[in-house]
Amino acid sequence: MTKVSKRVKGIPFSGIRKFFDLVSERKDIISLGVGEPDFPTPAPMKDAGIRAIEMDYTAYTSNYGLLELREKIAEKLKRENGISANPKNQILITTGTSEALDLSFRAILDPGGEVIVPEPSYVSYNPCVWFAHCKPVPVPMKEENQFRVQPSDIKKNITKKTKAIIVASPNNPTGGVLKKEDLEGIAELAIKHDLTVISDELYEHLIYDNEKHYSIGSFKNMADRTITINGFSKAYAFTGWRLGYVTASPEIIECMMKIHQYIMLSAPTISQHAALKFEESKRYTKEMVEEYDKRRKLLASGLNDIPGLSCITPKGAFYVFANIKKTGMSSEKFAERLLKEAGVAVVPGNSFGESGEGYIRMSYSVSRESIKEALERIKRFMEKEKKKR
Amino acid sequence: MKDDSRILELLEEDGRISNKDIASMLGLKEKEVEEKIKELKKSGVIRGFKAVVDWRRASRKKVMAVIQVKVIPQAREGFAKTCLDISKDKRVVDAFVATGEYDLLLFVEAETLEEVSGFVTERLATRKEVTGTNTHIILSQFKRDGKLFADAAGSRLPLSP
Repeated sequence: MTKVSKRVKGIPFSGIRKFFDLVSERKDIISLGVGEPDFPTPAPMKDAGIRAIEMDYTAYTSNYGLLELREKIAEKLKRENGISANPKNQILITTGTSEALDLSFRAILDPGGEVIVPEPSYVSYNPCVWFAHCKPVPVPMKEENQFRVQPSDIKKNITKKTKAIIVASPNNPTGGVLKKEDLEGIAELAIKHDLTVISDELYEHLIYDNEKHYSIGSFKNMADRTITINGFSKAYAFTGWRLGYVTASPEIIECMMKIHQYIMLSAPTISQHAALKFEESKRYTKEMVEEYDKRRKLLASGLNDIPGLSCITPKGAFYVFANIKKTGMSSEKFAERLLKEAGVAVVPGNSFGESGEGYIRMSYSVSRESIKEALERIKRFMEKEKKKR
Repeated sequence: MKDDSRILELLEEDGRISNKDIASMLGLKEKEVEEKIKELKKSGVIRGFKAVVDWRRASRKKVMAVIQVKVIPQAREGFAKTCLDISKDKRVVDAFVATGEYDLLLFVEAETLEEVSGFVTERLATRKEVTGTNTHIILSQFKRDGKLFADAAGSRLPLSP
């Protein structure tokens, strides 16, 4: 008889996964459920990847990753984030930021600890905390605060067992961007209660309306207690290459490296060579951001024109977190019916934690044409719905 | 001025975009957009709106050619009069004066190869200032007016975290 771990069995599948099967059955749908860029990887990075294959750069790299790439990342962290990191022992190249997340929790947590997770949150945070035998403690982020986590709400949830706080700005799924004072409040709490901050900055470049991204790891007295996670997926349309990186104190990186060397050995070599060209690819990011910005406004203003739906115009990432509370439907019910009756796929907000209930995540990482068509369909769906009631 | 060029860029990508959508994407008022487009039309910056058609997929086929034309420049007019005269032919869709071995560059569309041939022999070769032509019949096209004619490659999962 097949046997599986009770512990793993007890961990639920991602809400997205559940919905995925429903979507896959359907044809002619417009999907606003995508969580990755719709642009190609910038040409300089593609070329470098092709060249790496041709040059037979296909062996393992150092466990930490190519030193040349770590050096370039160190320069980038210094220049853009105000973070000083020694490329020799403070930067680890990982297989996507997903691995970096898992390593972070396992490196700093002992069983029984608690981690503060602002919600709605990226789907992997809670399970990664569970895998580390610890407990995620959700702290709701509210629409009236532009989905910015309030330090006072975090404070209420700090206990003797609290070990870490997750910060994710710009945020998936809400598009919220934390202000400097929000981060200063969080830093103050972390220092006072001796907590580690895990800062997921994957969407840092996808930011609009002249908002500014701040790295909490650059704040005073935060360098040693911050794990900064980043990667190439969103800024460089690099998702399938699976490449991320993480920086922290030498002690934390050493622990992360220990796990990484046993479970991953090294991040994909070809991808690392391709990533060496990230600085040369900045203008592609700029073009992508300009296009996302147009789509963002198109989607947000279109949604706010539909009676019964509303959203705040998000400041970052490529998601709109739309409020569907007036429909009286649960977010799952709404998403399911929208898919079946209007042919538009979105992600129900409760996939990102309980506080996402009453919302749906809509991605604008699709063409303007698709956004317009989706809005038309949603409008017709809502009109029919209104007549029924 | 900056707004003008941003409006033009959006219209160049999609001539049928609504003023409302332009307004929301650029953070302008709908009325402002309407006024600006009116001005741009009036001042001749916007010359018209048209569809980008892949005739190879339509039921009616078309023959396309790029024709280079060598011209002796005329007193006072240079190449302008010749180019303008030739441009009046309905079959000419684009006409440029350009540097290089040839002086004019014409993009021609017609129903049949005979019509293209007729254009070259009757409209171009008969002009005394035209001293030579070089006709390229288009075999296939991949992009026109900024629109790719190939179907998008690559695929993404319909849902991802």
